[in-house]
Amino acid sequence: MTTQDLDRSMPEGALAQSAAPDAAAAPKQARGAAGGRNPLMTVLSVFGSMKFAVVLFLLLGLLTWLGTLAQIGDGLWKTQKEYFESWWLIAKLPLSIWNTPLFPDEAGKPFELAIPLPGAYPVMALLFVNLMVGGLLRMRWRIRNVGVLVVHLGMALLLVAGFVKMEYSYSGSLALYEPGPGGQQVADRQHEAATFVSFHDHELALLIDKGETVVERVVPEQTLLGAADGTVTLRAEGLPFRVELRYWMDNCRVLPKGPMFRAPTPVLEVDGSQMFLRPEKVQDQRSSNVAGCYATVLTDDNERIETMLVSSPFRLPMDRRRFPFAFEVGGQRYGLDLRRVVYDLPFSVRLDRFVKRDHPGTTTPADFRSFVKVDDNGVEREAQVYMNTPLRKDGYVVYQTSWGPASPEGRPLGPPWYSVFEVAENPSDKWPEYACWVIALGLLMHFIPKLMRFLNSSGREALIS
Amino acid sequence: MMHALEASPARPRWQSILAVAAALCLSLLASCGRAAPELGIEPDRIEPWSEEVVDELARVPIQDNGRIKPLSVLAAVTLYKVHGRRDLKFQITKGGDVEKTTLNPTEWLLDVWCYPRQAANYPLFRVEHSGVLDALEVENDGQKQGFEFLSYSQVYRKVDKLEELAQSYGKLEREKRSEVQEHIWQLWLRFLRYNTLQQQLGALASPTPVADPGLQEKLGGERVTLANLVANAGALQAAIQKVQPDGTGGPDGLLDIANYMRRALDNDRGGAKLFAPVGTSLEGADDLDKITWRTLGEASEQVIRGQRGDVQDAIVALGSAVTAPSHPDTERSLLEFSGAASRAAAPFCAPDNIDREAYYYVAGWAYQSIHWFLLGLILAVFTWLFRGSKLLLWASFGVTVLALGMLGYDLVLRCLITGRPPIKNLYDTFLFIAFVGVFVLMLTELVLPRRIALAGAPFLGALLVHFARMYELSDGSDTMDPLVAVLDSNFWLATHVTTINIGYAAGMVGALLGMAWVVMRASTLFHPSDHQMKAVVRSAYGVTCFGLTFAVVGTILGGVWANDSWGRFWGWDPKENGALLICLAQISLLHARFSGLVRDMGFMLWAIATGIVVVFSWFHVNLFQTGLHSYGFSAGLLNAVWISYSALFSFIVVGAIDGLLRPNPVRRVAADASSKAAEAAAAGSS
Repeated sequence: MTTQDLDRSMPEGALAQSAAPDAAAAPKQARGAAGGRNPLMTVLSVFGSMKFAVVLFLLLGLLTWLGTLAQIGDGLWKTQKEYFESWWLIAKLPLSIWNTPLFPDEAGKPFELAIPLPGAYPVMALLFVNLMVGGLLRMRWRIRNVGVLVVHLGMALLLVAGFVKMEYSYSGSLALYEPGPGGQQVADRQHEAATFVSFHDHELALLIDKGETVVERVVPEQTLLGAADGTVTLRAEGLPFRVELRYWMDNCRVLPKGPMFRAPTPVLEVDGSQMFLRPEKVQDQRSSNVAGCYATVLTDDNERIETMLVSSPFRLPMDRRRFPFAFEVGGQRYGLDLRRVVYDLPFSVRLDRFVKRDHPGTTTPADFRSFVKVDDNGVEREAQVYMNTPLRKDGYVVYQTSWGPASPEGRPLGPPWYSVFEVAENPSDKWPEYACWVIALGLLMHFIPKLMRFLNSSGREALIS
Repeated sequence: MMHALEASPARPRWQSILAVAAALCLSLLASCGRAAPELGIEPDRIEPWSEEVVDELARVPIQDNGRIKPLSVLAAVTLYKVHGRRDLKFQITKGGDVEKTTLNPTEWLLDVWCYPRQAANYPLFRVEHSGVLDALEVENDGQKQGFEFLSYSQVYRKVDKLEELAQSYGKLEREKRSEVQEHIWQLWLRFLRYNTLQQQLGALASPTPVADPGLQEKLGGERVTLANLVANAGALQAAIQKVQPDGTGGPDGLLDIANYMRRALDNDRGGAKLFAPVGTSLEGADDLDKITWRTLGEASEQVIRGQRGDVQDAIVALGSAVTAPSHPDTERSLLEFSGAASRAAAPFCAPDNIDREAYYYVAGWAYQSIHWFLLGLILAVFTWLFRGSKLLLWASFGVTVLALGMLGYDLVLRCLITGRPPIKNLYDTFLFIAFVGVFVLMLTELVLPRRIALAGAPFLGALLVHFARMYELSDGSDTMDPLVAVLDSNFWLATHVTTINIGYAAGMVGALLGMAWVVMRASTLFHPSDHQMKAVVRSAYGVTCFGLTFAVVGTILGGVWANDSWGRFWGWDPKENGALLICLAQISLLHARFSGLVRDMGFMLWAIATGIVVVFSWFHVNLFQTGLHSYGFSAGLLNAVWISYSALFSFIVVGAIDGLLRPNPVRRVAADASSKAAEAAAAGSS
């Protein structure tokens, strides 16, 4: 056997076979371009090519790596927005080797290399296109490739699941107090709820007092944001007034007006004091932001009622009472409530008992567990929610996330305890799991026969002879 | 007909390389033996501890850090933490004689408890920075290199200064402390740790005066220790019961004894819980690990409140051991203690499991495996020289499989002891990845027997197990500690954690093969189209496919777990990103190969780069101290990470330079001729 013969029977020969779809695509593309017959096919062949896939993988890898490093300084939430939920960004790579900063500035911080990159969103969208075109449509549908096709299908499902989660899922918090000794409930405390509250999105509710019940009309945050640098006028059909909103602030504080300074916003008399809203730096931890704005109610009789609206900081179960701004027009009582978005649950949850257990003799948590009763239209059932085991019902998932009361240092101050749940509605909740099995199956379908073929091939014989 | 190949001129070169390597190894081994520090006082204990005592005491069940474990493990973990070694060595020079002593952790602990004066003079606290000695005003030669041991009594003399400095540095954030400040802070923590251990039996040795003569008679003397009170618990209880509600009626000095008891209770509050909670109802306790055990003070209190039996006997025996006039008496009392304490503990623990854990540390199968891996490596290298010897080949294969078996048995023991899947913390990942890596390499050797994976397997095994031991020492905590709530899921530990770590292992194996390939090519001993080289490429390809399967499945499973515990599938958390990076590295590697973007050289360098990604996600992200996944930290670890980066990267550089300088290497004439001769011979024979 000569060297040349040897080379031909090398694994590369075997690999070239797998590369067949791409290799076959190349001449087609050349012909298409030369004849100028179908420019669409040319575009598709580029977007669907395996080389383009490699570029996308590397881009996503670079983004992920830089996004991981950025978290050291910027924290998770900010980095997530900047790197992984954006269209493009300028990534910063602090240059350091062996923990020693390179070209440090005066403060000793390393020189930061600025790298413009597309965000993870477009990269993954392109990856999806590449996968559909190159990995599924243009792939040769042969028995040998079934495994690869299945893997690509699973990957597509995974990407779709991510998209659905990002676009259609919402989540919030539900905090419940356990009953006191003897099972008694405390008026201020929330022991049972059929709603949950968004972590950071706000809404403005107009409350109409109908005596027995209160009717709500809700304006989403998207609309309210217009009041940041202008006036948003809200007019509810059939009501004798309109509401004007101004000075929207993502984070603010109510402060008394002192004599020595000028307030940046209008000063109003609230409960006999001169108060104004001061804009504050928006916190990275968005749940600690307190949104606010000025509202003017203009009745059809040209009466003006002015007030300021402030959402509460994140709600804990001990302050379930809210004090919306109340006013009266034409003998009818109304209220305006700026609050975190309230979502309805199709069932109610009541906390019976919360148990926190440490490993004996230590402060290492061993278990957090909430014993709840779920009431679904009069049908009650008991359930436990604990770490790694959420409660799934009617498309909603309820997770154990936190507990209290505790001192700022984390020293427990109960019982009675309250338990904080995260509630999420996610249509693609289980899709990644299905995708995982599909991908695993596809990989096995592809690699095991391939290994078997190799074990019995002349290529292997040549390598071990 | 392979003998013809051996006639190639490559052989003398191999031998010279081997000779240099062997000389290096020998000089390394020679530099390991060094003089032990001098004890500096006349020892109180002249005889060594008898094997029986050490063995029995090692297996006494205790509860520490939330877990029931043998006493020997408490001793070992404390010694790792304060001493930074697995044993304690010192020597006593008398006249011209030098007597060297090596204590295992249990022997050391027994000295700390029974011979505290001697133990206080042991060379214990390892000081690695002369600035620490300067700050404490301890004499030193100012050498920054190396380290020195300070004894407890040496540090104790400077304790005010140390505490003052440590308190001020402790307030600083870790990143803001200078190197010396960090060392001083760590020394203080280690000092406290030793102090806690040493004080635990303090009340058994430090007596309190008894005022009332009647009470003196009942309690056994004018001055009594906690052991006396426990021994005469009946009499003490009777005296207490005489006290009227208004506080009168009891014998004189009862209040002093009550205060003494309170001090005894406070004394070892933070220490290990040495006694089973006898009297606690076991009904309804679904898990023995949920019951809190008792410290010496708490157990003594229970005895004085009326509990009798084994716990009382154990405390009294321990008291005798601490105050015994002679070494044989001490040993006898210790045996009584271990018997009584073990009997008391039996219903509250799984005694078989305690014995198993004590055995685990004595046997040290993972440690044993290092030696056999090294032997396998040496044999594998010799198979390169003596290509014809089947015996050598089988010996190398057999020894490595034997070492793999030892490592596997070590992992099985860990699973049995903890009742959990093989990986629970960062330490476990070393052993597991070593096991999987060696296993995968041996498989590739079976598929493509070119003797390269045969050498790579034991090399990887020895290296990773050695790293595991270094990590265990530097971390200084019990590697079987109970898990925090979110990790407490055997299902997910067995699925996600195991699969993702198999992915890591395969990534490391791929990188190792890439490095082997680079060396083979750069050494000019092989031509890129040689069977050996092609076989390495093919193995790396197979390993990458294998690794990709596990990395992808493991990563997605991790998301599914996160979805169940935190309510989101993917959060771009550092550990998640790390796993994704490995998947991306391997996916892009395979696609680059399929699409013809890279050939052998590109593939192998990319495989090494994947190794860098593995180091990043396996370790580096844990050192960020951000994100939900950060569970391990050790300062020295960051250095190890950078060393790994540099090592892997240098192979990429070497490979790339070699590829640029010799893009199409010319086949060496001699080798070519010899292989032609071989082919001719093969053709002739067939």
